[in-house]
Amino acid sequence: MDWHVGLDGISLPLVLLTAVLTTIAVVAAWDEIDERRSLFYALLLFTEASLIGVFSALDFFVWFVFWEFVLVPMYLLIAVYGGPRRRYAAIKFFVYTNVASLVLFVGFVMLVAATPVSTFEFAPIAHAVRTGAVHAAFGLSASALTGVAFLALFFGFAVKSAFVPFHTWLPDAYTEAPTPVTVLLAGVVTKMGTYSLLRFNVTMFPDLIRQWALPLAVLAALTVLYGAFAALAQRDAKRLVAYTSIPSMGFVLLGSVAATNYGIAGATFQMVSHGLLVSVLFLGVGYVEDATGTRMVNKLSGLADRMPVAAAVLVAGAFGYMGLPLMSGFAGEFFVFTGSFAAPYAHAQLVTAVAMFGIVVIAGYLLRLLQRVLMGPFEAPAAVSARSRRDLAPAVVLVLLSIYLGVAPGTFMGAIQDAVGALVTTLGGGL
Amino acid sequence: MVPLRYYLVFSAAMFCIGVFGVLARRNALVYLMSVELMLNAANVVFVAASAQYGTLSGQVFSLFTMALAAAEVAVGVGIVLVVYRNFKDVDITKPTSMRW
Amino acid sequence: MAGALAVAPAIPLVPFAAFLVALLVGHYKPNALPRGGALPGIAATAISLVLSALAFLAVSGGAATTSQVWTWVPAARASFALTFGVLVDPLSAMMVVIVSGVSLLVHVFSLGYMNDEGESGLPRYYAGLGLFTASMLAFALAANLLQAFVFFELVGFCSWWLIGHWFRESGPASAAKKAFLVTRFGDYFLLVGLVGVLGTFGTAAFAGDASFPALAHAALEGEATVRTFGFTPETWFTVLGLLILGGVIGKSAQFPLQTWLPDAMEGPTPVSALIHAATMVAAGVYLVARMYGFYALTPTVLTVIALVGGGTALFAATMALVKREIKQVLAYSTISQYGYIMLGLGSGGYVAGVFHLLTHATFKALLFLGAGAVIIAMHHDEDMWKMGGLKSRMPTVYWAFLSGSLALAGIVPFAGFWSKDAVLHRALAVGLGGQPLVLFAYLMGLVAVCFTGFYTFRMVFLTFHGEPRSETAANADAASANMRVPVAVLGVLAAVIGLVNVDPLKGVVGDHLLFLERWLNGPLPGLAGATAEHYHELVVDVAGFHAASVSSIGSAVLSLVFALAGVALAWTWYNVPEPTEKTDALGPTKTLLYNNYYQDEFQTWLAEGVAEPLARAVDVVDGSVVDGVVDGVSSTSLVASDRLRRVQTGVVTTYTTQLVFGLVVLLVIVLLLGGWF
Repeated sequence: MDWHVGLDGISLPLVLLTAVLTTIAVVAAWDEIDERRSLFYALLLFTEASLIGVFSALDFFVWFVFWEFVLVPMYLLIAVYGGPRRRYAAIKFFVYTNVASLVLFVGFVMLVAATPVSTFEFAPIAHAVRTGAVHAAFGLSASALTGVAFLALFFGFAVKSAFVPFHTWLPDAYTEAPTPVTVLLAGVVTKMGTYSLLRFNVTMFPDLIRQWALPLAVLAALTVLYGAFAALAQRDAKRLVAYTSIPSMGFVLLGSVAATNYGIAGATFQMVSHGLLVSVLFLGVGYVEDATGTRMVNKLSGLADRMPVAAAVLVAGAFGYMGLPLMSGFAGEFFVFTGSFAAPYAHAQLVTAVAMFGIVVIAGYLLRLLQRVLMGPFEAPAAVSARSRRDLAPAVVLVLLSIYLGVAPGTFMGAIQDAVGALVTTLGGGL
Repeated sequence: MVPLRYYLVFSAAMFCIGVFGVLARRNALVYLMSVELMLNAANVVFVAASAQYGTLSGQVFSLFTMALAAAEVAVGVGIVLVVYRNFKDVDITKPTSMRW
Repeated sequence: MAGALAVAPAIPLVPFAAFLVALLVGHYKPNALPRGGALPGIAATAISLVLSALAFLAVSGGAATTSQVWTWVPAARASFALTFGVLVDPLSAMMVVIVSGVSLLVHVFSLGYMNDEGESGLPRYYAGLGLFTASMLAFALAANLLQAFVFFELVGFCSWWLIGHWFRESGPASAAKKAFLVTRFGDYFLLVGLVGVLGTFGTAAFAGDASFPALAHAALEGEATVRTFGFTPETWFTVLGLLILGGVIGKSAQFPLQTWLPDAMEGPTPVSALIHAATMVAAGVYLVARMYGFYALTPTVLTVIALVGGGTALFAATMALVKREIKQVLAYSTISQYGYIMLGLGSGGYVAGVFHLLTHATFKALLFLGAGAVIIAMHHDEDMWKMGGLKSRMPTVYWAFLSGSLALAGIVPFAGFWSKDAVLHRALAVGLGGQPLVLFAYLMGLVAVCFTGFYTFRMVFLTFHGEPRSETAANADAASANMRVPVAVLGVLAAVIGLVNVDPLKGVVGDHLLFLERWLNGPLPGLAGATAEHYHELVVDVAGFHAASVSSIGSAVLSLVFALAGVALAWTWYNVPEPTEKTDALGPTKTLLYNNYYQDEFQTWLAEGVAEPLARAVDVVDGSVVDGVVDGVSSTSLVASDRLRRVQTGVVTTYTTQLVFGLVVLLVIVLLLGGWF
């Protein structure tokens, strides 16, 4: 059990994302949080530290301690500063993800106990599992034990990343949390799951990920379409944006199991891109709620007339999210689709094409949101005035970052591919 | 020499009387005395076995038990006093606030 | 002249700079922006036009190039990089001239249409036009399918932006959404096709030896192997071709995804002229022409293109017959005309299709700008039944509009005659050469010629002839100069531009007068795979589309007769002082046509009757079943613990009893297992 940390092309972008989004969250909290402020910022920074710990740990125990650490400040941030149903949302988030952590912990420790490895560091464990150095234990054969560990880990990560059907904590938590917390929650916390999926399931179990690629890709497609259609039904703008995260995480899963260069690198890129863009959307919905006192789409109309820059930000975020080229959303999704289409498992083309249909549904509800809330004759329950520059700055910065990454994704893709290349060689995916 | 079996039967009977006292009596002092009975039932077995097998460890254990019993009575009586102070009674079914 | 090609990347970058100027200056110092951003836009598009013309001249000097400008994603450890570049060949050189030219004229026209009318949000408007022009130019110059897709989507975004310019009204807001969403539906297929192309060939380049059309050709010849995912190359290429065609159908408003275009007329009329007539809608068919080396390999897809084109040409023309609003007629005619381009390309007539693309961009931009001038004169009333007699009020616009209408109807010698007949001749020749489906498509296109003549002149007569039918029409003002000039320029072009390829007179005048065909044929020393000649070989050798020998003059005369019949009918019915709606005689058919065969209702039903209930069902399932299980687990444990905790009475005696009972049970179990009983 050592303090063993490090960064590579997969974790570095996420650490950067965490740092950026925490800064954004601090600025966004400036006006919004007006009581118990010191506690708020302390918890925010504690979250940041834990998140960076998760992304940089190279030892299972270090990783797990940080993984659990994240829950504590997040629980308090939702339960203390949240909306009307904050207690329910916070407890659901805490208990649900904690149960999942328990399952993955037990599964993984069982596996480690059945290897000759005497440490919890990632590399020796990965080597042992890959080379088949697992022996039978706990009344399970070596292969069954590996399989159980694989599924237990996947379950843990699936809940954290909110893959369907383990997603139901997400809409409640995102909706009830105050905007700065939602930014961190949606932008980074769910990425813990998909990041760890790459670190554990994909890296340590190359045979199993190949074997399970099709069912997991089908689950990804289901996540995309189910999440997109669920979002289509939402009438609360913040809840809609919360649901819209689900398809994006489905795309990440789709890329992760593809075992190709573009697939896995695209999944990593998509994590960063989604973190930026979903934050823009939450900030944008925050402006609307702040200005009008409501988030219900049917009570709002024509806000672009009164808050043009905020409207422009929301438009940019929504189109970025829909995959408008030269913003990061398109780049991430495009890499994932390219990688997934050529993935080596059977029917990869069909599953990819089905999952890709999500982009049409996503465009549908985001365009409707823009049309209803921003366009048309002005109508709102309160007088609306333009937002201040300090209010708008975080979202504008994020939009600019997203455009930068969309125009020059090579900045990260080089580093990401360096990390992914070796992995793909092990997996035999190519492309 | 009296066979060990008689001691065991005696000890079991004494233990059961103690158990009955613990289960049935409501007076805290009688309750404590019943506990004493159970402890001493154990002591009887220790001593009898010690005599039977000619080793001293059983007798040593019984000394430990007595010390333990003395300590327990001290704590127990203390609790009884506190209970009396709070409930003006030494009926052990009265204080039920330590529940859900 | 090669230097002109080196600066080709600047062609889209200059309008992009105008976009940034309009956006940023418009936001921070709106008063510092000359004429609301129009002047930077005009300057930028003029520079682009000059650069495009230089590139055009360079290409006519035999220079053509495909080069890489920007590495979007380096290959690093992956098997291919993703890059942006420019491909300057006859096709793209022609397209950038069209785009920057029309854009320039539309900018000038907007001075009259938007600025003089005192519209608000001008920087936003001109920023949108600038971004659109930049994206469209970058699309036209795209060196690979990825880049084409990127800018394909960006022009779609600009279309959303500009249709929704008057966002305070609910009509444009809804139309903008619909336009983006319907084209997005088509783009979905294009995106699948694009990742398919990358997965299959490992490159998406359009031209050169390592381009995907070249690789596909080599694979069909058995000279190269590509991943075809378990299909034969023929089948797989057909699948890819059809997938990409999905995007084409959405963007070029072909059946069944044409419904967005008429709604898009909610946008400002200059936008309709630029985006929804001359350029963005052309992006779809341009893409087919751009990757013609690939489509020419797949006879099935070519036939589908021809059928979609011929069908749409007829189908949209019937709907245009009964419309009341001038812009609606033009919208349906745009759909119909792009059908002809598809028909030409689908029957293997690359030159004919591109020719019609060129002429249509000219005369349709003209007609929209002319309609825009009329609409301004009518104070934004678009109902043709309230117009009439505008001929004397705005003569310049009338004559230019008439030139465009003659071109649209296909009357000799105006532009549309030459190009439409080139298309129809090609389709007829291939149809008789053993492609019965193409022949069917030709027949639909031929019937549509008659309808085109009718609806075009119904529009002209109702708008300009007869007596004014409303106060507004009687008092209409003449168009201002900044509207008259672009209209006049285009009016002259519409009359003469067809002469660049007098295709029907092929046998009479000799090939040297077919400038466009010679231009597209090359030779291109650097890019032999991007010439019309090469495409023609592929169409004949690989796709097996053989042209029967059909007299080109005969074919032209036939369609001219059809067109004149339509015009004559319109003349007798509507060129009278007080016309009445004769199409009422169609009875219920008219209602059907007026409602566009209820396709909008059908698509609305798809959205509201299928997608919405499905979404609500998912939402209900999500709340009750999926989340129900989660909440169920928690409420089960809560209920269970609520029951169980009642064991804790707080009475010491109860605990003791439980203890003893437990001990006894344990003892009995141990003794039973130990075999004592």
